[in-house]
Amino acid sequence: MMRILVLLACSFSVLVFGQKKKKYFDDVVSNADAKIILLKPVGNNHLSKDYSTFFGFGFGGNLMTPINFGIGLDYNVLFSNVKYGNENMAGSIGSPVLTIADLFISHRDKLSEDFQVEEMIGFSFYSHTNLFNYQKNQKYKNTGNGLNLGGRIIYNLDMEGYQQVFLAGKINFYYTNVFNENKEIQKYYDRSVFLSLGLGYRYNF
Amino acid sequence: MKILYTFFLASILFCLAGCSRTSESNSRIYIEGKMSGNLIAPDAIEVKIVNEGLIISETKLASDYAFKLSGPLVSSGYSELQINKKIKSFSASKPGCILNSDSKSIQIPAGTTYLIFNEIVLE
Repeated sequence: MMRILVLLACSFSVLVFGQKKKKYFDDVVSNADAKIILLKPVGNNHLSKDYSTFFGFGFGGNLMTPINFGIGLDYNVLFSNVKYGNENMAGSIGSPVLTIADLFISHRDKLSEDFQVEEMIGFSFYSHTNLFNYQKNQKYKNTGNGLNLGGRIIYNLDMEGYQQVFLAGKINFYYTNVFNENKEIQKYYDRSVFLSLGLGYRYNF
Repeated sequence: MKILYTFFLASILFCLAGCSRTSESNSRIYIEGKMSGNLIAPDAIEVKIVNEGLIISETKLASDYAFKLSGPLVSSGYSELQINKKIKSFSASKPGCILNSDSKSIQIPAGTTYLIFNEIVLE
């Protein structure tokens, strides 16, 4: 009797706990996420010195394979303001909006039953728009591109790992095509490095 | 699957190689300068850059009567440095700048995106 019970308990646990985890880690899974983001440009450049910290939101999708490599896409929209006292360097433009599309390859590591980490490397496309202070219907637009590196810690909200929350950190390199005769001034306006922190919710299906 | 990743990596590299670099159609102008002469309080003197009739940058003088201005050029035409006081004379780091007949603005030739006014003497 005891033996049968133990056998039943074992097979039950294998069926219940084994299979569900197995399904998640052995199949190609896709997921979609939504997040809020804080983004701080760093270094001696226009976006870092003349703008306050960007705040915004983002949506993303991932495709993860059983060999723990995947591809993903992030689309973020971020808003900022020209810092008070730096209007002369920014020019008569305001309401900066940064739209970032990140394409990346990701790698997944399982830390424990509940935690995973993912590392990302990829390429980003940027659109940086402003409104002219004296001509509201006209936009000043800069497009740029550059590499991105990132990582995130993911926590499973349920046993199956369908619902997750995550904290993501990212470094983006931003290069645009602003021209100035003076190379120092050009460097000030045509490049930047962004550090960002995102908090989001993700659903696997 | 390996092939897919290789392809993805390769496409990223091609994207990098194909980056569009600086173009003069997306210019930013930078002007700095210092004023002297019959001066009033520095924050009563306003300086503007106007390109194609649009104010692209404006500021008031700092306490040392110096200014720094930068703004995105909206056209390839000439720009103007406008001051709300009459200008007697000036000296610029590049030739080609003309004092307009109203004495309140300096015309900056097209294509100039970096300029230093060593001195602007106000009336």
